[in-house]
Amino acid sequence: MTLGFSGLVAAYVVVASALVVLGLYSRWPWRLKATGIALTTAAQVGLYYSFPLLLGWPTELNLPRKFELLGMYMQEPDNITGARGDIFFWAIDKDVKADGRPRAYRVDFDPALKAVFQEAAGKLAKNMPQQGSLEAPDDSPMGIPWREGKGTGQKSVKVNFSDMPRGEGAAGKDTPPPTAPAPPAP
Amino acid sequence: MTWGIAGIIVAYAVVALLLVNVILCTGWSWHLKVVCTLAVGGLYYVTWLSIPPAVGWPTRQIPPGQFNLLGTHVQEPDKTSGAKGVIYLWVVDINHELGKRLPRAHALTFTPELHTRVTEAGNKLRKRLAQLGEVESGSAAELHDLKTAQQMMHLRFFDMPDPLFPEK
Repeated sequence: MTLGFSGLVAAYVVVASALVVLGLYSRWPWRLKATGIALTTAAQVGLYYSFPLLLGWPTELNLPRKFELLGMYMQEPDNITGARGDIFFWAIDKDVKADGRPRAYRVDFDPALKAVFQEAAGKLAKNMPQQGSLEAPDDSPMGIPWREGKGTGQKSVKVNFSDMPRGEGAAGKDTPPPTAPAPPAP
Repeated sequence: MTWGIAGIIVAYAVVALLLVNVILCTGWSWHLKVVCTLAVGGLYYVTWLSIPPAVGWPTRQIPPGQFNLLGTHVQEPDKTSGAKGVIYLWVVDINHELGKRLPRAHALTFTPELHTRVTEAGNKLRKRLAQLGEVESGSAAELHDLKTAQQMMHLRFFDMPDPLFPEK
């Protein structure tokens, strides 16, 4: 995610620099320069407020190789509307270098995958934290459909789940906050 | 999400407009115009590459008014590292317009009171008791200051009512 934000900051800086060059070296009338500054500022403010609206939604890119499953949500294909099915899962990437926050992912619906996820969710419900390992055919950060020009779809992924070793895993570990200690006995 | 994408497209269009202005209305040398075009092209490319890595992570925006809770994750405050606690919720808006209901992840500021409620709801969820979340945000939903909005909102959980099926 740091790369994402640094890229956006760099993009902001490039636009601001272009505006400074325009303001200092062009022979435009001051009205046009003022309009340019106002437009660019508005665009940057618009970007700033647009970006949070994109956060929180599931991604189908950068799927984690090893992860801890926190939750799953499924939408089966609908023959009437023609909607393709989705399997959404919420997980923490267990890679050493990974961010420790949970991230939401999406993979294409597949009956075999559905069974695997449902079994893992069942174990999760029994307070058995689940560790998943995922084999994606391609880890291209921009996804496979773009490269193959298919427009939609995702190559099938293989997911395996296993019980997490005891003492590991955040799922099921949530405990209520400690209450005030009992007063000492007289 | 649609508004987020629309905002970015508008911002792109404004920058493109500026570039067209530079190319058509200035007496700059063509070298400079080419540099400007390349800079804007680079900006578009970098932005396009930068957005996907940021998607999927939780948002600080307050959850929708009524939602179906899918998952919870709590990071308690750590006095040693000074890290503030965060409460993560994964929810689906139940009042979303017909069609696909996409789940969304939210990050809320840790408070002991919220922790208790979320833990209780999470425990019920693990017992397969679907949880309905309700946010009373009042005017907080319109605030751009997400931290203040989170402080103003009031979050409650209820057991989801059983679906009613018509009698045969």
